Amino acid sequence: MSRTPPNVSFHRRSVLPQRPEINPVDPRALEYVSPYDHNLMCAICYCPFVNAVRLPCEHVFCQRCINDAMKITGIGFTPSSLNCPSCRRMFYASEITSMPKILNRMLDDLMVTCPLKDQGCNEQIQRCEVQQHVDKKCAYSEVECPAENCLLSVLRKDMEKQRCLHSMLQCEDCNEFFMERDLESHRTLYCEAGRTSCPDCKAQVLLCDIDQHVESCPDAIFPCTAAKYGCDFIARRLALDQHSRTCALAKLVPFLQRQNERLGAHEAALKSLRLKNSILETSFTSFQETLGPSTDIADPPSSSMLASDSSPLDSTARHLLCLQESLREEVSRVSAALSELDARTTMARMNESLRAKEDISHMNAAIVGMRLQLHRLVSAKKVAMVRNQTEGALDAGAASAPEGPSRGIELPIRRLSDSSRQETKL
Amino acid sequence: MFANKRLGKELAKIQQSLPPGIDFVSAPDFKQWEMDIRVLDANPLYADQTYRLRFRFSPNYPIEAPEVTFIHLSQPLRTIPIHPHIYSNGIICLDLLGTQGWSPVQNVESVCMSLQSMLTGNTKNERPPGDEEFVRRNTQRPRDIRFVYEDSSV
Repeated sequence: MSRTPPNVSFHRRSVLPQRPEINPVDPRALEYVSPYDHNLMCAICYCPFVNAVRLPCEHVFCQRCINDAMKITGIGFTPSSLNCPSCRRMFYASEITSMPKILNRMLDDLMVTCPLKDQGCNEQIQRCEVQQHVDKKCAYSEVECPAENCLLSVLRKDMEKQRCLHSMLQCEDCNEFFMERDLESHRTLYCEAGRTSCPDCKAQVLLCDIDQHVESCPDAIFPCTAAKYGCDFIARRLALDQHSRTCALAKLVPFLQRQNERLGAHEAALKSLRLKNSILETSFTSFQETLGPSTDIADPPSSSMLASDSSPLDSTARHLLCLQESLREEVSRVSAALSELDARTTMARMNESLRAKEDISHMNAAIVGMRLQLHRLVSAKKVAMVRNQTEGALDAGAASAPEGPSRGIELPIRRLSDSSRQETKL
Repeated sequence: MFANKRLGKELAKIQQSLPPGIDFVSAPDFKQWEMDIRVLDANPLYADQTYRLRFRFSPNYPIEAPEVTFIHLSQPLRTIPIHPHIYSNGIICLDLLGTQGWSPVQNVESVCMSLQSMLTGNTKNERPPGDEEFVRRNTQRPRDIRFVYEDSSV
């Protein structure tokens, strides 16, 4: 599509006030072609959610719907707080949270008709692309007139005529004046005076009624209804009726049509199966990659079974399986670390107990030493007592009374010196 | 705005099914609709009577409440129901229809049901206080009148 040279249009824009070129499309005023779940319908605009947001009471609305509601019905003109339109629970604007992106994305994929359908555009587009379609592509949206000093707009499809379509022309039939851009539609659709003759029956018909007339004209020439399937009979409507009663192909038409439909359905099914198959194959190879070269000889049957279980949504299934795989790796890593830790603690415990055992044996040795010492002392004391007794028996007559205690004191002193010697030994 | 789209969807649903006692009358465009309501139980005030409601929608519907009034007709006979909140010129004093009570999730059907139950629950055979004077002097449209909602019993 060609336009006026860009420098010209730039100049013109800078001088003249810019007209609103882009008309924003309200997604809530669109007509939806694809079916959608009625639970995904906003209770305010009755459309699939557009930028769904969630209130603290878990009710969900379109962002723009709740904004509009806050603007107009805000209590006491403080738009920061509002009651939920559904349950009337109060909330603050700051409490509004957005919904998961996936929901908005799924709803943006719904097919809608072009908002300029009434002007003649028959396209069906995804909802998220409507604005772009209207702004950039739609043949029926209004754009600047290509003529340099014309301020009016033309339809995009008329741009290629490269001239101003706003000069007034007279309709040849009714003598009324119309802008050039509207003249054609006037003549073919609305003009009450324009007449033309039917190409078949030569009758004079209103130009705007010609299509209707041709459909019912008895003299109109049509091909046989089985023309698609090879019958090349062409005749006026009346003769055609007679022919269709005898034409073998015409009788087969319903059957052939059914066959065609079945064929089409089969092709579509085959196509979807092929797509599914390719998806499965890619997921299978990715399984093999994640399982690694060591296990891929043993595992293929199980992994292919998994892949066939996860029907069309296998990109998510694949993701989940990858996740599971990585989790499994993590678990094995953790268990290895755990066993290592276990070994280390056993070693530490063993070292500790060895040292304790050594200590115990040291102490045992000391105790044995002490016992020996004790034994020797006891025996020494015994010997001393025996000697005392014998001495006492000898000096029974001569010995004075105070000597006894002084001997008794000597024994503890020796014992003390003995115990100090024992300590140094230890 | 999306008022027309939403009203189109409401109309499609209304033409399919409506609760008992509510009937669709006409919707020539997306500006003004008419509905008929009846009281279903044996309330002697409204027995065997059908009342005609007129809905007027602004381009901001459903963000703004519709204007709902009872209208008087002679053929078929439609009167203004007697109720302490309904003036004899058909204007209804109901918080649901005011800016504060309205919620954009309401629709024509739910408004009809609310009015139906408002009539069902009423036992007083009287007009609102100051009815005559209000009817004589009021030139405002219902949406511009500032009602004070004080009675929560009906």
